[in-house]
Amino acid sequence: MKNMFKLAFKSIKYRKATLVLSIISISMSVLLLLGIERIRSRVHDSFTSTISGTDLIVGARSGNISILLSNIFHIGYPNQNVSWETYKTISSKEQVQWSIPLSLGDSHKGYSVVGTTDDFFAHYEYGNELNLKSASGEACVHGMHCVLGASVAIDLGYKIGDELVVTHGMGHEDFIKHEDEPFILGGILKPTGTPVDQSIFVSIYAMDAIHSHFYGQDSQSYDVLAGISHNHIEAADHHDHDHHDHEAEHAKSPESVSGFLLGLKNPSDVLNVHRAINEYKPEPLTAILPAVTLIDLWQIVRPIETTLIVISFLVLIVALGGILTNLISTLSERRREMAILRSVGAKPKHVFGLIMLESFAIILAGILFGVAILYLVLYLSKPIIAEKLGLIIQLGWFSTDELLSLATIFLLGGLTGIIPSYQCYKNSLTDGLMINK
Amino acid sequence: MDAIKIKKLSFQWKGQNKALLENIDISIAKGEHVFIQGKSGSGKSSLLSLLVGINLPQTGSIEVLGSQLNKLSAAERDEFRANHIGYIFQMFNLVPYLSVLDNVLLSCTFSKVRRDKILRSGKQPVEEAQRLLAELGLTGDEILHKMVTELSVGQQQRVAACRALIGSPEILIADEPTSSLDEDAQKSFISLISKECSLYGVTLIFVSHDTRYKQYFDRTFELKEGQLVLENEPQNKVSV
Repeated sequence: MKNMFKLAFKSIKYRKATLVLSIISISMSVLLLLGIERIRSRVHDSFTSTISGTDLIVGARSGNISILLSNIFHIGYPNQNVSWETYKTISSKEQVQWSIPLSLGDSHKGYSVVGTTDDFFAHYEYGNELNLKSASGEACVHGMHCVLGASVAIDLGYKIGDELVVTHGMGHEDFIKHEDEPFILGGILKPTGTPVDQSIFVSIYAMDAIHSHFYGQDSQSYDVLAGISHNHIEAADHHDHDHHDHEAEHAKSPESVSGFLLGLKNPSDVLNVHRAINEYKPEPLTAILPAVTLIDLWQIVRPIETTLIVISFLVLIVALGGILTNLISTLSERRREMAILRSVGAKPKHVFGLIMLESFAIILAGILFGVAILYLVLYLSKPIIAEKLGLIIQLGWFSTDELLSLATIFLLGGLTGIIPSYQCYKNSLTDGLMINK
Repeated sequence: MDAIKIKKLSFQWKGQNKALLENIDISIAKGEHVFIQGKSGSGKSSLLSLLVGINLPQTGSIEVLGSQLNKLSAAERDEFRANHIGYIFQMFNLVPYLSVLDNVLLSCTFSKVRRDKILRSGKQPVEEAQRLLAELGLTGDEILHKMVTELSVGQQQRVAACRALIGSPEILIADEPTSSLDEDAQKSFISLISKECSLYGVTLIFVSHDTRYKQYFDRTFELKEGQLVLENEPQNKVSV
């Protein structure tokens, strides 16, 4: 057997010029397959942990996915809002550790504007317990200050101190602009790979005040705005970051919120609180467990995932076809070599085994080469991907899925080798020692 | 005891209705040098493939070194060939991706018997290969480490002879080994392998369409219309 390995190795070395092409095509499909698999699983992980530290997301009675879509992904509007009173009541339940109100519906140049409080920056977590961090400025939304997600800041080219005007409704078309009340850019967040990157955060109080002012519902609107601005300046002077309570005291509370996030003191209370909210009498509410609903939502993109995997397997099959033709095309010129081996006593099974060994060795070389390129590419592109996409690609060991793909490639490649091996086996049986063909 | 004993052998290829070899009877003694002459298509290759046990006759029997080839399985025949028969082809005898030395050692790779014979003589197979190569005039690092494809045809045939002879097989079969050589080289090649075979007591079966060299052999047969006809039995074999 050792001798067969030696023979196969020397044979491959001799034919390296043509085999290099086969090996490269195999390694490219390995690269593609593993690369897609790795990005897919990273996107899956990143997606399903778009929001991770939050125990419950609460909105007006609606479907689970629509609550997730509107509150976290800012896609579609909630049909109904939740009253501020309900929000306050539920947030003050004893199991609740923190709560973040969200008010949606406004936009700026197509990016959704989220009205919230500073708690958002303190408690929102994504990925594996990652907090939001500011890349520049401060991540706080008191007064008329706003905070931009990383992508928004890059796309719009804003800098700290720039003024933004918020539009009512979504879209680039300026239907109703709140032009007289611009926000001041106070901070820009680091990339997260979540919808946070695509969002603009403002104070929920300021947002409500603008709306009240605009619709003229509140005769005291000017005072409200003045109160907010004043309050913030005062707070900033004191470098006091826990002042949203002051703000809440001074500013008029909004009448309603689009939804809110809850963090519980004890995670084991989740189901109890979940049920309590869904059965909340004064107002019809729906609470969702973000992790569960995220996975439900991911199922929607399942066919795309499958398509990607199918495409990369097709690429693999093309590459295997390349090896097959390569091996088969050399068979006729190798009949002589096989006759020589037969003359020194090689059995047909040795001939079969030699070609099999060679095809396995080519596949293995292709796999190793492909994996090496993958890691090189990942290593080199890691900072770029993290920067541009907010995806942190781990250079770690293979996942079970990846090992499975590699094993499949190895086996498929080896099985492909059966065809030329068998042909060679048959040739050597009929040729015997006759090589004058 | 005879090295080869063929009795009433008939053979035809599958799908052909006429027998290529018919009713052949021949005995070849141990150490005998036999020349088999025949035009192309006369069945020389078929006869050789029967002798080395690649194919089996439809009727009759072949006994080689006391073993009935038709009673051995295909794998046993392969092993038998590896252990007892050296074979030289007409041309392109060498595996292109192996060195000269590795080509010679190929015989020991597939035959434990041949390897053990060398080891019992107190040598390593590599040493024995080098000794044989030197005996056939192939010495020096340059030749030993050259790509086999860079050797001259004459050198290639001598390497093939070394591979056939290493590990002292009882029978050497040479299938038109000189037809790709020029006249000088033909003569020196035939004299070389005759000398080696005499030296080690190897039974030599030399097949060729070229009758010029038959006087160097003990007996000459001609393969004609499926029959093996004894042509001459030189009173005095010319030694080369």
